[in-house]
Amino acid sequence: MQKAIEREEEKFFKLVNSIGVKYSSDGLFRWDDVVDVTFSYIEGAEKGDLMRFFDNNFYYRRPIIKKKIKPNSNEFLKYIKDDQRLLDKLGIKVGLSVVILGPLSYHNLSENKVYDSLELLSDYANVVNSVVKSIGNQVKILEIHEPSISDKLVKKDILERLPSIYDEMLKGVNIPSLLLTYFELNTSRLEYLFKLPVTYYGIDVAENKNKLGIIYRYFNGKKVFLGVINTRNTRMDSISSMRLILRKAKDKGAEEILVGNPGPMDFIPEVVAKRKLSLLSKLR
Amino acid sequence: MLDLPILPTTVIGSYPRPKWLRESIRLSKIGKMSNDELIESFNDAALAVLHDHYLANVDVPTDGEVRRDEMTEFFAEKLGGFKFYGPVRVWGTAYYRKPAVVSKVEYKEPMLVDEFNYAKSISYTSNLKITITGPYTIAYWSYNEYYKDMKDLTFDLAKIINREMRNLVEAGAKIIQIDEPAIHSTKKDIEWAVDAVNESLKGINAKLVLHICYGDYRIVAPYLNEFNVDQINFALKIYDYKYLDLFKKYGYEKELGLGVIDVHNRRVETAEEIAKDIKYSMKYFPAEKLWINPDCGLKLLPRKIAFEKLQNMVKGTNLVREELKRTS
Repeated sequence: MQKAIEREEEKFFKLVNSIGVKYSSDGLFRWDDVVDVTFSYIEGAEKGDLMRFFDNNFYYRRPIIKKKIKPNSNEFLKYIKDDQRLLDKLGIKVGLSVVILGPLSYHNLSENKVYDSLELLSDYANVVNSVVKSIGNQVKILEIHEPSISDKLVKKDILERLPSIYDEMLKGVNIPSLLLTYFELNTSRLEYLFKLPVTYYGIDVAENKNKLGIIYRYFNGKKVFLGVINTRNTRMDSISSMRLILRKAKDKGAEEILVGNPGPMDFIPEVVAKRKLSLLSKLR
Repeated sequence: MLDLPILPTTVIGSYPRPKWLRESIRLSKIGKMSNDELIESFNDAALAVLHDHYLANVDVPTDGEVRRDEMTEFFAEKLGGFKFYGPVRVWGTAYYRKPAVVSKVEYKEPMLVDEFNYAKSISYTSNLKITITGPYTIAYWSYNEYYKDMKDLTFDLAKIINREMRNLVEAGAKIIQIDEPAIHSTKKDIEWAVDAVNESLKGINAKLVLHICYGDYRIVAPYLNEFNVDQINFALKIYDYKYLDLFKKYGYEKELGLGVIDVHNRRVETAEEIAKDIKYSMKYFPAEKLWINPDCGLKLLPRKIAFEKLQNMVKGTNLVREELKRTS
């Protein structure tokens, strides 16, 4: 199994290297989905029922929290070291990112039998903080997946506390952080989103084209990550449309712009995912 | 026909393929088994599944959908306008070949009539159910590269599904289940999605059942009475029946197919547990309105476990039937 994973990672690293990307994850081949990743750095949650991942025909095992959660750095750190060793062996200079699920998404996608909501968010933030700090400079960027930011059922008190939860999570973390908010954005959440203390704010541009006018308003002085590829449709994205969006983001005052795939690419066939990633190299 | 006991038991559709059928399919794919031999294997598998359903005493069986790899893929392969790029993950190591719509979708030939005719010829009961994937789910679980929007695609598919259902009725189908597990994926589509399903059901003279499973039923709950069907069945066991209250709140008044078997869990529910769940559900809906079924298709379970679950489903239902007899 380990060898099979390494083979896939090798192919993936070579692909992202050929595109010339600055940062990349290891492709997450070890895990079924982004929620599954959490079981590698958290102790205290069990794998529960299969649940639908947002509005996709894609399912994840819901974490069932039956006792207080604790960091479990060893396994996760070993994976990071293995990834870096492979990159070194291949002579590839891509900056490795470490992927974690955002605290709000962990809260919303789990079944919590122990905590009240704010306690869980806080404990989770501390767990992630401890894990990420233990990884140290092995990785170049922290990739936080927070698709639940648009979930309509999130209560206002939680949204208001989210910046301080992120502060706890990122305290003493010395690498940049990239917040990924994929799928359709709830524009009423933009104010909360852009208050979070992260380095790069990620937007699924491909799925929010009709909302860009509102989204651009928040770009001034911010470092943004534009997910310009539609990762849920096989239709090839238009390079000229992508360029137009990048120019517009710059005009609206974005301080720095990264581009990439907005979220996981599990939703399209591998052959299409590769073609779509290759489009990124044409954006230069 | 439809002379059924109280709390009729049924399956949702799919059932684990016998191991030898999987081997036949593999051999066929590599050219080591002829098409006629593969059809023979499918027929034998349908016979085996119906026999399992018979042994378990299921009132309204299916042929286990043994000919179908996957519920969207199967139809997309038989229609014009679709293209396949490769597999995508559904969960864990389960993948399906999610189709892409690359031109106007077109009906080419009957898709289910042969399957139904064979199942009918071997069924132990005239109360046989045939399932068909609904237009919204086919559209939602495909990539749309051609149509202006998903609504246009869905309504074109509704016409196609309607045509196929007419063929099924002509072939003698009396109970047709339209599978719409994606119907409640997003709130913004739900109103026209209901219309599209109804479009596919227009003029169909059969007992019509709608299957909905997994996800947020709050999206679809206000619209349940608007579907032109006789019954809607749901995955409910997995949610510990919490949605019954919601259905009641919205005044749901059709027959309710009660999912009492968790198909994602290998633990076999006991007959007593199932009886308890049915009795709990009768606090919300009268026994006369309830059918008993698993949450969803059983195909991903080992066959032995699927069979044991079905057996206990019927045994648990019988416990309640006996109790009802005693108290009536």
